[in-house]
Amino acid sequence: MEDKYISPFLEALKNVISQFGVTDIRFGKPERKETMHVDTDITAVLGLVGNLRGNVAYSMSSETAKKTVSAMMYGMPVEEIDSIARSAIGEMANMITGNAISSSLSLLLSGEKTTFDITPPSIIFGKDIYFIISSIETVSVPVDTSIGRIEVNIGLEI
Amino acid sequence: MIKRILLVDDSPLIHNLLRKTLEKHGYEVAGDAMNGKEALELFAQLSPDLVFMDITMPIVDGLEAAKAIKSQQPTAKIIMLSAMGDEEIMSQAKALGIDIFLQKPFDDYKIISAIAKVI
Amino acid sequence: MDMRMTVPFVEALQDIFKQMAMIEVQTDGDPFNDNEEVHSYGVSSIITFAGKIKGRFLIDLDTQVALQAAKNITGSSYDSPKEQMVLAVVSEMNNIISGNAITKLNNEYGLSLRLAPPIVFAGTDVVISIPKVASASVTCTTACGKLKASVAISKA
Repeated sequence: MEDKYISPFLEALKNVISQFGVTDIRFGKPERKETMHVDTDITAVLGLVGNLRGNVAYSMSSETAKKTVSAMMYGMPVEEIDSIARSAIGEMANMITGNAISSSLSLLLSGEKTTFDITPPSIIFGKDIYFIISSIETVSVPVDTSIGRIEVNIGLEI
Repeated sequence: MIKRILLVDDSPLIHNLLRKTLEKHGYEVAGDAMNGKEALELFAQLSPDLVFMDITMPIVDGLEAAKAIKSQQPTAKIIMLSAMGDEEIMSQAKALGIDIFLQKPFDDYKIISAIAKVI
Repeated sequence: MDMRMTVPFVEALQDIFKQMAMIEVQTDGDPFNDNEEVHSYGVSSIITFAGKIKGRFLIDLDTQVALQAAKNITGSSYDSPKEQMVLAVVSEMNNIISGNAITKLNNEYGLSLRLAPPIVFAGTDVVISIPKVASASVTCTTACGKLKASVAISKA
């Protein structure tokens, strides 16, 4: 997977979370791996089907997840990750991925690669999880923000 | 002459399973391609007698790769081996002149009898 | 959720466990409407799909079932479900199960569904949830442990 496919997801993340008032967004160094090891409580993962196939996963700590949901709900305090909070995290994953595709990613995929769709997000809880989300490689990028770190894991089959 | 077969699949597990079956029955694995792009390169390099081709793969999928191979060499023998096999995919494969379409999973009999029909 | 949607998945699961891994899978009963949260038995694989509808198929295996399947398929023994080959086996089995099931659904109902690549994972005390989407599950028993198949469908 070429580097140029990574930045649409990072830019989309920045766009979406800055709309919720999150600041100090800094992208870390991308790392390429076959298996991704997650040690941060919560991962939201969704798929892409069509001419662009793959999975994208967003991982964060419970603390960051609560702050994210709180920010999405206009600052309402969030004590636990209940079903409303899970659905908000899923929605955020949807928004970021949808934003990445509709903005810059579709420009990169000019020509015949134009039909794709996003699948429903799953939310996975638990520590010390080993994931494989792509048969080729996964590019992981840590993103530090005012509410903590969000790791973006991209496994596109291109 | 031992028949030489090119394996194309994005799962290393499928390569292992096919290799075991083929070698047990006296065929040679000419090469292992993990996607359609590698398949095109290896096909040109190795001129295998037959290709086993998966469909959903990264970079270039199996239908595209089969199309490219058939256009370069219309007599090329290709067996599609895919987890998916709905009518739409089957008709696309047929239009490309694919010799046989097999749906996964497979056993030795399924693989060996398909090979006997094409080469 | 329409329980009929689970039938092709459960049939494919039983066929493929038997054919590929030589493991007999007995269902414990009929499919039931599941909670939003699935507590993982040990190793899980998710495949999502989209077309005229969208959804997710989950297989969740006791660690022993995953290790036994990997052993039967590859001929080698494994100690941990976190080993690459064990994860690869579960992932490819789910790929074939979902491919077979989706093929049937497409041919029967004209849904034009396409699969995303499989996701597979193993961890400690893992909980899987799919927000806002109804799911139906079937629990199953094998000689080496439990497994669960769960189908979630949402309108596109």
